[in-house]
Amino acid sequence: MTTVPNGVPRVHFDDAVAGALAAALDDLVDELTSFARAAEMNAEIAGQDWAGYSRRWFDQQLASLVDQARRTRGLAADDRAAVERARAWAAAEQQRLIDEARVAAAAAAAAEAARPGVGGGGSTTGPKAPVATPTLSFASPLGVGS
Amino acid sequence: MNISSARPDALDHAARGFGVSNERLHEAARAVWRAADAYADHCTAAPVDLASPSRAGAVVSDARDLVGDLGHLATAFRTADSGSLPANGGPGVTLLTDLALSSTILSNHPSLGRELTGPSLDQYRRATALAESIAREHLTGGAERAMERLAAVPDAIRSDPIFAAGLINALGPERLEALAEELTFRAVGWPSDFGPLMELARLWTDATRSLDLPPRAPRLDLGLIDSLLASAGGRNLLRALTGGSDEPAGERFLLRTLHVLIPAAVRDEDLSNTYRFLLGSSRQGNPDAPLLAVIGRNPGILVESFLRGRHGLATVEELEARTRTLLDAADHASQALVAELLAGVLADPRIGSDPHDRDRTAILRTVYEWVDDNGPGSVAEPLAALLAGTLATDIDFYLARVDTARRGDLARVLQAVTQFERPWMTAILALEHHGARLVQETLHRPAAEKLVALAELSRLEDAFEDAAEASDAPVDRSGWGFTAFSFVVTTGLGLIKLKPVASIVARPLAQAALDELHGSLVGDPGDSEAQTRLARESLRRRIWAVIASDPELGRQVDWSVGGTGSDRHDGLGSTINSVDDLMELTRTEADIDELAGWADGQPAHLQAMVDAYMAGAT
Repeated sequence: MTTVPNGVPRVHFDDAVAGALAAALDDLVDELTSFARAAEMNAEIAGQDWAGYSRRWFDQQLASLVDQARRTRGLAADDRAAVERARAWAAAEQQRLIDEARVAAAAAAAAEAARPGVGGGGSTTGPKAPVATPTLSFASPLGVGS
Repeated sequence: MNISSARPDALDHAARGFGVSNERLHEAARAVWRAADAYADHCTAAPVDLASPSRAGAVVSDARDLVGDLGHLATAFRTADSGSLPANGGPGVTLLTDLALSSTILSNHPSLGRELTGPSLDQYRRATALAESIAREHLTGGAERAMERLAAVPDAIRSDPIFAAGLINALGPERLEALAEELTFRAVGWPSDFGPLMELARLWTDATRSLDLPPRAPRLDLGLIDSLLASAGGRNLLRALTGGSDEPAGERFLLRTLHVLIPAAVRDEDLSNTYRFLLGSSRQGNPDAPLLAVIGRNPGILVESFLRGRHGLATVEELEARTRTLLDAADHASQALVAELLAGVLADPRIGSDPHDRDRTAILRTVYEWVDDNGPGSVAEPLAALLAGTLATDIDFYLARVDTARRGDLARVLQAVTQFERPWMTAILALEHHGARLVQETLHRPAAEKLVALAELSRLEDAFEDAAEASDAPVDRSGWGFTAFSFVVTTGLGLIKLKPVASIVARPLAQAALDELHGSLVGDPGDSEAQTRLARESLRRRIWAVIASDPELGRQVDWSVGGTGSDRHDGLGSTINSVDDLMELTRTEADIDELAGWADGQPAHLQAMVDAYMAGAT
C-alpha cells in the first residue's frame, strides 16, 4: 500500500480490489482452457458410432463453441493485462501527486525562509514543513499485501 | 434413404461431462463479474472496460444449450421409430432414418434447432415437386393413374404429416375435390373402399396431423380447410376424406371443423359422387356416419369443438344454436351421441356447475324447449337419461318452471323422462335426494319453515306423477339390468361403444341407491303412477332417517319400538334398530307398515316434525 501523507490528494483506486479482479481473470483464463479441453474430450465420448446429419450439426456446434471459448480466453488475458496497467498507472499517479506535494512544500518552506526578518537573512537552515517519506507498496496479484 | 446412428447413452454421458465443466466455467465467470463490480466501485480513477465476462457468459449459455440439446438428441434416438431397420447397429447403438429422427425431433423436442429438423423440411419441398407431377398425371391419365404416383412413394415418407401437408397444399382445394370426385365415382361407398380413394383419404388425415406439430413445422394450409368448409361440396369432401381414412385425423383439425360438419351432412346433400360415397354402399345410409365413426374413437374432441368459439369459449348464443342444431339434426340413433356430447359439455369445468350459470342455463333451456317443441315421443333413452340427470344437478331449473304458465312444457319434459325405466329411477332418486337435503337444512328451523320446505318440491313431484301417469306405458322388463348403461350408435359399419351417459349425469347420486331402487322395483309390476306413489311414500322414511342421523334429535329417537329383536313377530317396528335399518327399508307394503309401526312409537314432537314436512309436501 502506498502511504499517502496528509494534504496530498488521493487517487481513488483500491489496489487490493484491482488485484482480486486480476486474480479472478487469471482463474477465468484457466477455466476457459480447461473447458475447451474438456469439450473436445466429451465430444469424443459422444461421437462413438454417431453418424448422420445430427452428428454434422453437433460437430459444427462444438467447433463454434470451442472457438468461442478460445477467443474468450484471449479476451480474458487481455482484460487481465488491462487491469495490471491500471494498477501501475494508479500507483504512478499517486506517487506523482506525493512528489508534487513534496516539491510544493519545499518551495513554500524556502519562500518562508527567504522572507526578510525570518530565519536570519535567507538562511536555508530554518525549520521545514514535515513531509513524510513516500513509501509505495503494492498488493500482490492474489490480493495479499507485500 | 439416409441413416442416422448414435449411442444414446454416450450422448447422455457427454452431456453430463459438458455440464460439469460448464458449471466450473460459470462459477469462474461469476467471480469475475463480482470482482469487476467491486473494481467499478473502488477504482474509479482507472476504469477498465472488460470484454471477457460477457463473452464468457455467452459461452456458458451456449454450452448449456448444447448440454440440453445433447440430452434431447439422446431421447430422440431412443424413442424414434426405427422402422424396418435393425433395432440397433450393435450393443448400445441406435440406427434409424434421418426422417424418423427429424420427425421425432419436430414432434417432441421443439427446443432443438431448426437444423435438426432439416430432413422433414426437405420432405415438404419434395412433396411440392411430387404434387406437380400428380397434377400433370391427373390431367393426362386420370385420378387413378395420378394416385399411382403417390403409391410409389415409400410408406415411411408418405405417412409423414409434413410430407402429406406439402402435397395437399400444393395440390390445392380444387385439384383435391376433382381427384376425390373421380375416385368416389368408382368407390363402393363408405366404409368399404381400400383402393386409391383410401390412399387419398390417408394422405389427407396424415396432412391434418401436421396441424398438431409445433408452430415452426410446415403445416396444412388453414386457408385450404376454410375454403372447403365454405361450400357444401367442400364439406362433403372433408367428411369423405376424414371419415374414409383408417388413420386418425389431427385433433386441431377436428376441433376446427367438427362443429360445422357434424351432424348436418343431410343439409349438404348434392348429386356429387362424394356425397353418394358418404351414404355407404347401399346409398341409403346416414351421411354423417363416416364422421360419427371418427368421433366415436374420440368423443372428447366433440365436446371441445362444441365449446370452442372464435375467441375462447363459445358465446351463449352459439351454445344455444349449436345445441339446437345438434338436436334437430340427430335421428333416433345419433341422439345417443348428442346426449353424450351434451352431458360432457355440462360436466366440463368451463361450463359453470352453478345452476344459475348463463351458459349452463342456456344449454338446459334449449334442450328443454326442443323436447317441448318435438314432444316426448321424439326423445330416445339417452336424451331422457340426460334430462333425468339434470333433475339431480339442476333441480332449481325445473322448480322454476313449476306453477308457471309453462307448466305444460314441464309435463312434456318429465313425460320424456318417465318413458324409460333407468332415467325414471334416476329422476325419482334425484327428487328424494333433494327432499332429504331440504329436510336436513331445515331440521332446526321453526315449524313454519318445515311446513313450506318441501312445498315447491312437492309440486314438482306432482307434475312428475302426472307425467308418469300420462306416459303409463307398460314397462319392458327385458330392459332391466345394467346393459342400459351402455349406449351405442349404429353407424352403418357396426357399433361404436360410447361412455355410458348415465354414469356422467347420475354422478351426484349414489350408484348403490340406484341399485337399491332397482331391486325394490323388480317384481312389482304396478303401473308408473303406483310406482311413483310408492317412491313418494319413502319420503317419510327419508325424513325419519335425516332426523335419526342428526346429532341432537337422533338421541331422542326410540330404537326399542316393538321389541329389540329383529324378528317381525315381536311387533311392528321391531326390525328398525338403527339408521341403517331405516335406510334398508324397501318400497314394499310390508316395509311401509313396518315404518308406520316404528314411527308410532317415536316421541310425539318428532312425529309432529315429520308430519309438518309431510303436510307441506302433500
